[in-house]
Amino acid sequence: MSFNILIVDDSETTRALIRRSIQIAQLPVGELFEAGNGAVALQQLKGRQVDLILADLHMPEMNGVELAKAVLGDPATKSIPVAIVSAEPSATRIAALRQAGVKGYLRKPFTPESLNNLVRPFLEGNHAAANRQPA
Amino acid sequence: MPQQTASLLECLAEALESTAFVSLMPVEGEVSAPSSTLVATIPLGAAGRIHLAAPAALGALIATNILSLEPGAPEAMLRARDAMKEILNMTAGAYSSTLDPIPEMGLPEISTLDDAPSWESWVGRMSAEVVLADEHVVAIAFEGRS
Repeated sequence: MSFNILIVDDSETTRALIRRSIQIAQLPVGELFEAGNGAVALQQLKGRQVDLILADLHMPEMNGVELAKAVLGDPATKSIPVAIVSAEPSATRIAALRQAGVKGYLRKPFTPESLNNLVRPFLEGNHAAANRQPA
Repeated sequence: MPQQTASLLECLAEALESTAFVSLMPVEGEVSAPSSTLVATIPLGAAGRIHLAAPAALGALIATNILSLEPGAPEAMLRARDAMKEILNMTAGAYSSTLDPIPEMGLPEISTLDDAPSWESWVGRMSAEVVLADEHVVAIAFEGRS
């Protein structure tokens, strides 16, 4: 079964790093889509099957929180889980993300192994495990 | 070295080593000031800003290692600024966690220093800590708000 991921980060380098980490972790991913901010991500979602969104928190135009709220607020996309990959260190703000409906969090810098630990539960339909990622 | 500076260097070393396999070394003796420098700056809310200055060649090396590019690949220099910003972003995230309260991080931006005297002046003005990263000279500074 194809499992498609949308990577949303204003850093092209980080998007490439996530792509490479997914390859190294040998995650069984079908297509990888990319967007440089939340607004572009919402456009990318139209007409595409996306099974997981990995989004940065701090981005120009539309940040990760705004993106998550927009995704969750749209009946066409609300079933797509959003996980944040960010350097944000505040446990309070990360808790607020989860209250806003974000399903997982991975702190930069990350390793392929930690990305695997974040993403694999979504592939296996077990979102609760991704929520246990350390902050 | 003040504790604040040591902590900042530790965060930079962690970001560089874990992401780009680049190691920091102390400067021994005189080092040549770079003739052209990228300065990445990230605001930390009311706490201040962090600056990271290095020649574009270091940004290109970081991009090369992160993306597994061929040494000298033209793509690496194109991504040098982005790579510098992302390393600073990671450094700032780790450093922010040592501050109380933890500040709100902004978006990193890049400016340039166009000659060696500008580098010397900038390092002095910022009281920046100068180290080597795989033989490239690097300066980092926390500019607190008074």
